[in-house]
Amino acid sequence: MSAGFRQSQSSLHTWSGLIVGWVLFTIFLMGTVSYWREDINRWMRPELAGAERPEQVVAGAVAYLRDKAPDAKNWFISVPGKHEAGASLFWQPRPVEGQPPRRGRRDTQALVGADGQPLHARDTRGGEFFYRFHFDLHYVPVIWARWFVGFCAMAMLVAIISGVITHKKIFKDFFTFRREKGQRTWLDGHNATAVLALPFHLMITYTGLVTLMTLYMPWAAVANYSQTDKLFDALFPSAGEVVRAEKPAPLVDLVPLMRDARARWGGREIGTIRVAEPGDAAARVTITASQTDSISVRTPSIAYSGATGRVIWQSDGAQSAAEAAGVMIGLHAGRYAPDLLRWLYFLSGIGGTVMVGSGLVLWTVKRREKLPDPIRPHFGFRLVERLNIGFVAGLPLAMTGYLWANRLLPVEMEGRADWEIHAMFLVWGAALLAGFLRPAKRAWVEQFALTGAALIALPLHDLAGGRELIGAGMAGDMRMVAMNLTLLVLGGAFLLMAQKVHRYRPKAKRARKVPKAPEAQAMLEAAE
Amino acid sequence: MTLLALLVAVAAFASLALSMEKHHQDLLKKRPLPRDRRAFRIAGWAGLVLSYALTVASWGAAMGSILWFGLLSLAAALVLLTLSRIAARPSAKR
Repeated sequence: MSAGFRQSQSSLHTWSGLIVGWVLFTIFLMGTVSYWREDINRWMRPELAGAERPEQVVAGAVAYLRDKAPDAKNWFISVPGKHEAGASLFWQPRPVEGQPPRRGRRDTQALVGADGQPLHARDTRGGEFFYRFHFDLHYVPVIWARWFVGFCAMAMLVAIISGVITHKKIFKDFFTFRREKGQRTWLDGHNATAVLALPFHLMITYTGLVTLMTLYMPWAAVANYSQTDKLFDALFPSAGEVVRAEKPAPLVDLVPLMRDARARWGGREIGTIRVAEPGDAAARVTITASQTDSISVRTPSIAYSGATGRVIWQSDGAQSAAEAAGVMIGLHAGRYAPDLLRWLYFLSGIGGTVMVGSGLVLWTVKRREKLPDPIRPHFGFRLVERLNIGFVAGLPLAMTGYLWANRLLPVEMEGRADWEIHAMFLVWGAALLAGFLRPAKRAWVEQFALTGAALIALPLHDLAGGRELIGAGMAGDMRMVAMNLTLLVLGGAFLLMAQKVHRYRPKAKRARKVPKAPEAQAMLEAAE
Repeated sequence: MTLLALLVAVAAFASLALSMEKHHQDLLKKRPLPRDRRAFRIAGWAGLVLSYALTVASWGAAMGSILWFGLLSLAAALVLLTLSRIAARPSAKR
């Protein structure tokens, strides 16, 4: 490979990585913690008891819906998985002639337990927020956010491929990580996190783009399907719309239908149940398999008559292209993954986050030595250096702030779920600001140390309340215990990083022309 | 079985590292003969194949293949961290 080509790829890598690096860091970190979405949901609603049997919860949900929305157009019940408590359900009221369909479905949803009573848990978006944020962002229209995220993911793909080309000794350096060698160490760390989990990085970036392909590249769909409805029918086959018979008929018991569906799928768990036109003779019950048991997210479904319980429709296998897309989305989200594989996903995700973060820091490390005047670096350098602090150290701090808001905000507070999110952004804003105002090195240490301490304090706070850690452990709720232990370990890791940065003294190898005032030294050492 | 697959993968990567001049010197304090290097290389690749077979045997082809990539990353990271710790020891400095 010619040196010129490699050089051009190197510049491409540097700049495609830098301009979207902060967003990528955010997407990677938020996406990585989303692998534990259900567990974060559970942790953020400590009032709920452990999981119950799905059949009982569905029976409870139907009892609740019968009472609350007997004449709804549709009921949707998500059947709780192994680690969830209660079924979350929502219903679609019958549209009234001449009135626009209602927006916002706050009052048409509920979380219901096995006894048919709504479960009372604090109002929170839980882990769903991290998951949505990693492609929808927040405070901006969703479509813009997705285009922006897609653009960044594309740049990521470019950065990965140009990075592999730039990396001169990808195999010779495969096991190389030289400690405490300044720039060398940063480069080794960046390379190692990139190369060791390269299959993951490529897969996650590519499949991430595939999840939103019909948004980014609608042309194939536009050319082949005259109406969007037809496209969706092809992508997500269903039994078609239900026409009301206008004859009342009681709804059959759903539990035998669940058993029947499970038997037909060879024991797969059930994901969602939709009841269309409940209470009418034409009522239809559509049961869809859970995404936890197959790699593809396009799961089969069966429709039953709601009056007789007979099977009226079964989805056949998806078309090969749709199935391929389903497998790719599944690979990305990892919902099928058992715990062991989830952990590997999570660790690879952390690897990717560290790769992006170290790449960002490397940009400043490489340029620091060449600065004409290290005491007053030019604006671009300072901007990158300070944004790095606000994102790489500030975002984990902000996310910890979100978890703290979940524990500290009053349970009965109005708009509580929204305020948890506002709290996260307030902490993030403060961290960004502090990154610009404090001496760089001190800002790194402070934010890492604060994140570590705050993470460790979370389980301790619960322990002091006497609730979750001990109580959950006694009740055999190992998920809760595991989450708390993970918080402790993560907190320890952040404290360790703070200590490393704090103790770091650059080796005075080269004689510098500039005398080292304390201020200048802090600047020089920063980010290393 | 999965744990065994991970251990085999770690051993395989360690063997591959030993087939490389620099790491061989760090670990065994001597220059490897070309013959040794080839032996370590073959053993390493064979180990990777074996760990794949073990993973697929207990998880099936689809899930096993995905899991195997994850195990590889973890195993290689463990070997990398161990090697860098050994190389950073004062006695190992050349």
